[in-house]
Amino acid sequence: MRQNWIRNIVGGLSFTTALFIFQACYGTPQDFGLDVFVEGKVVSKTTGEPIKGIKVSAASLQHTVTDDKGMFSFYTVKSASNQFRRCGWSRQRNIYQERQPRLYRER
Amino acid sequence: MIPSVKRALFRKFKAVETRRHELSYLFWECTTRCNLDCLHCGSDCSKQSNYRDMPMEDFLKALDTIKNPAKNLMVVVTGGEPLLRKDLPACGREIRRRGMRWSMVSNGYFYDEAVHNSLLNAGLGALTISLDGLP
Repeated sequence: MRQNWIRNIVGGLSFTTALFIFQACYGTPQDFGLDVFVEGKVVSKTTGEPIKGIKVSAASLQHTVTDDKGMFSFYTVKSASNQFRRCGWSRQRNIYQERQPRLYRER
Repeated sequence: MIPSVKRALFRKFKAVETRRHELSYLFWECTTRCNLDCLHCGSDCSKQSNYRDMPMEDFLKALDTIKNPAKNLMVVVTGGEPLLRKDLPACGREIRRRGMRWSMVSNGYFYDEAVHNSLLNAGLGALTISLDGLP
């Protein structure tokens, strides 16, 4: 009876170790899908022309830069109140405006 | 009595799973090139790989053949070292555009803040950095 317990424990540990090694070598942790897709466009307030090279950030680390058409898009952490900042134009902030970024929830 | 019920339930479960045969985990060896040459590695990859990387378009064509992909289908990008591919963020975006999720297994050698940012922007959902041996 006692030997069965020991066998079960050793077997369980071996199986867990094998799973861990398999994941470390070939697998990845579970993705809980806690992100959203955001896209938008940065345009000039006065002319309405798209602006290239504006840095747009949503989280502390994540950022992207607008392309030739003023477009930006990225996936970011889903949060109750996503706030978007533009960087690099702070002194001329009144000149530019952002269209409200759109959030897409995936199925 | 209980073991026979368990067996019957398991048989039923197995039959359903076999019928559905849902693809939930797909590995893509996106390159056979690797910057390291680890002794323990079971992969056929090397620093001087003679094989060209599979073009992104070819892989996407293969993805598009999956009819009704599972809701949580995960594409695991592996190699070789995936970060040797310059079009990895573009690949990731295309995978996500098809309603699938993607993750990556890397040795972390080229992983820095800029790479982290670009991969997150491209919808990377999970990451494994393999540290299980010396090069």
